[in-house]
Amino acid sequence: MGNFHRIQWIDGAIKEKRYPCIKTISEQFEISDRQAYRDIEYMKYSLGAPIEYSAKEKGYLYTDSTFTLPSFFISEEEKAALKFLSVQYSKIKEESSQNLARLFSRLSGQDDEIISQISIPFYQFSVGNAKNFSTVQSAISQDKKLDMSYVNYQGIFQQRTVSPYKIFKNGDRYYFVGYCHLKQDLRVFRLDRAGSMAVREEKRYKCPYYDPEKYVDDMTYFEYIRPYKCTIEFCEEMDEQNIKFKVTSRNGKRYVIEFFSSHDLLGWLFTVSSKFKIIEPVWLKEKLKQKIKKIYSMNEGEPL
Amino acid sequence: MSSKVLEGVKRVGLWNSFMGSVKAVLEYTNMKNIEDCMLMGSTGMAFRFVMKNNCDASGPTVYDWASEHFTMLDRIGIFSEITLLFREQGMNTFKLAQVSAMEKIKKAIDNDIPVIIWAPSSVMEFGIISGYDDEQRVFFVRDVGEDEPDPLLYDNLGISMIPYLYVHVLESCIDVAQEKMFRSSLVYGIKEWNKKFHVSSSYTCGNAAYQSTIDALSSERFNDFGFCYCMAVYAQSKELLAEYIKELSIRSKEIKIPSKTVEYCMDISDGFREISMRTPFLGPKKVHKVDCKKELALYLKQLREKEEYVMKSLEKAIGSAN
Repeated sequence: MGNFHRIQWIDGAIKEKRYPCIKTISEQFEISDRQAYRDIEYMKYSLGAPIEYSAKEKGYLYTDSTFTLPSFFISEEEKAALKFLSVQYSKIKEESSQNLARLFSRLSGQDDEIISQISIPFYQFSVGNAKNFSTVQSAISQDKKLDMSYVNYQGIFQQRTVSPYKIFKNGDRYYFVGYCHLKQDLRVFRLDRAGSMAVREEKRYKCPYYDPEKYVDDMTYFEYIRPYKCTIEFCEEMDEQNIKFKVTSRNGKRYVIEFFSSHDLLGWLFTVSSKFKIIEPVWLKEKLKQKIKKIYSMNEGEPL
Repeated sequence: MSSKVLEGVKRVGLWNSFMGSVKAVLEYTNMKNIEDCMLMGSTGMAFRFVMKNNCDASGPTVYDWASEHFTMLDRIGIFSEITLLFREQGMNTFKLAQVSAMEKIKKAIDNDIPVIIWAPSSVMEFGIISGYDDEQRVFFVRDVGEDEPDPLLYDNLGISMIPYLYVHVLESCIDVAQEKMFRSSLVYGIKEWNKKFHVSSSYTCGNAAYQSTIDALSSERFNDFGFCYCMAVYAQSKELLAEYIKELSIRSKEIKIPSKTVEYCMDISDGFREISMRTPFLGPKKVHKVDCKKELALYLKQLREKEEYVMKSLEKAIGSAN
C-alpha cells in the first residue's frame, strides 16, 4: 500500500501546483531518492501520467491537466506474482522479454537490482505458487519459521511447521528444503503441493545436518532412499548440535547415526576431536580401514 | 543368513554404462571375450544417438530397456533374463517385486554371475551387483567410479531418483555367425538413423537427434550439463562405431564397405571427440557453461551430413550383399 499512498500524494501535490521534486518526495516519505524516482517512473510509464520535470519550477508537473489517476490497486498477492514474473522474464535475453521484466518489476514495486540478483530459471508458474514462493522467501530472509498446509506424495494432507532453508528447482518444479518440526527431520517440499502458508513469528531452528550444497538447481539428487544406519562409540560425550548427521538414538557415548554417504560420514569423523570406534555395520568399518590404509600408504611414500 | 562376494568384478568402464556393465560381467564370467568396439557395434548400441529437445542428460538412457537390451545381447548370442518395473507412487506390490528380484540376484551371485541393475549407487547409471550379505542386508556393487561405492541396502533395491527396478542376469551364450551379426547390427543402425518417432515427441533419434541438438543450441531451454554429458557418452559411442565399421570392412566377406565410408566414420568420431573436449563433462555436481554455440551447431550440421552419407553407404552395402 505504501507506494500507492505516495503516488496519491505526488498526484495531489502536482495538481495543487506544489511541483514536487525527488528531494521533496524522498524527504516527505523518508525513502531513498532512487525510490522516489522510481515512483515518478511508475506514474509515467505504468500509469500513463503525463508527468514532466519543469526546470523553471524545479519540480514535476502534468502536461495535461485533465489527467486523473486510474483507480486500481495491486494487492500483495498480485505483487508477489508480478515480482516472480519479472524474475522469470529477466532470464530471457530477448529485448521484448527484458521490457516485460522491467514492466513487471516496476508494477510490483521491486528494485531491478534485487531482481537481477535472484537466481531462478524460467518456467511456467501459477500465481498461487508465486505467493508461496514469496512467503518462503520472506521466511528465509527474516530467519523465521513457516506454517503451512501440505499434501505429501501419498496425497495425505497435513499441517506442518517448517524452518525453511533454501528454494531450488529440479526439472520443471520448484522445491524448498527445510526442517519439518512435525517429522523432526530435514524434508524437501514441493512448492505446488503446499496450500496456505504463513510466516510464523518464531526464529528458525538451525538443523546441524543441513548442507546447502546438496540442494542446487537441477543438480539435486533427492535422498529418496533409506539412509544407512551406524553405531559409533566416541571417547567422550558429543553435543548433538555438533554432529553433522541425524542422531536417531544414543546410549551413553554410543550414538546411532543416519547417513547417506560413507564418504561424508568418514570425512566428518576425521574432523571430530574425540576418538571414535565404529561398532556397526561391518562394511563401514572396512571402508574406514581402507581409507586409513590408503592415507598411511601415501604417507609412506606411495604416489598420491 | 548367508553372504557371498565375487572378488575381482571390474568397474563399469564405458561411458555407455549398460554396455560397460555387460563387458564387466562377460569378463568376470568368461562367457564371451569381446572387444569394446565389437560389443558396442555388433549389439547395435554404438548406433544409438538419442537426444532430448533441451539436450538434458536423459537422452542416452531413454529407450525401452527390456526389449532393446534383450535384442542387443541376443544379436551377439547372449541369452539373458530381465526384470523391469517402474515404481509408481502408491504401488501395492512393489515390496513383493523387490523380494522376488532379491532372490534372483542372490541366485545369480551364488552361480558366480554378477548382476546388472539400474542405479546401484547414487549415480543414475547402470551398474553391477557383485555380492550380498544377508546379515547386513546389503548388496555389494560396482558403478562407473574408480572406487567401490557404498553398498546398496536391500530396502533400497529399485528405489532411486529414477525409480526403476531393473535386474538383468546374463544366463548363457552361444556362437552367432559373424556375417549374420554384422548384417543385423547394420540393419538396426540404419533403422535407428531413419527413425521418425522415438518414445515421446521430446526425444529424437539418429538423424532427427542432430537437428534437435542444433535447434536446442540456439534455444533458451538448452541444458549445459546434459549437453556435456551426452557429448561425452556419444563421443565414445562414435569412436567405437568408427572402429567397428573399420573392423567390419576388414572382416566381412559379404558386406563391402567403401574406404570413404570408413574415413567419414573416423571424421565423425573425431568431430564428437572435439566437441566433447570443448564442452567437458565435469562430473555430477559441476556444470561447464557451453559457449560458441553457433559454431557447435554448424559443426554438428557438417557431422550430420557425413553420417547421412555413411548410413546411405551402409544401406547400399547391405543391399549389394543380398
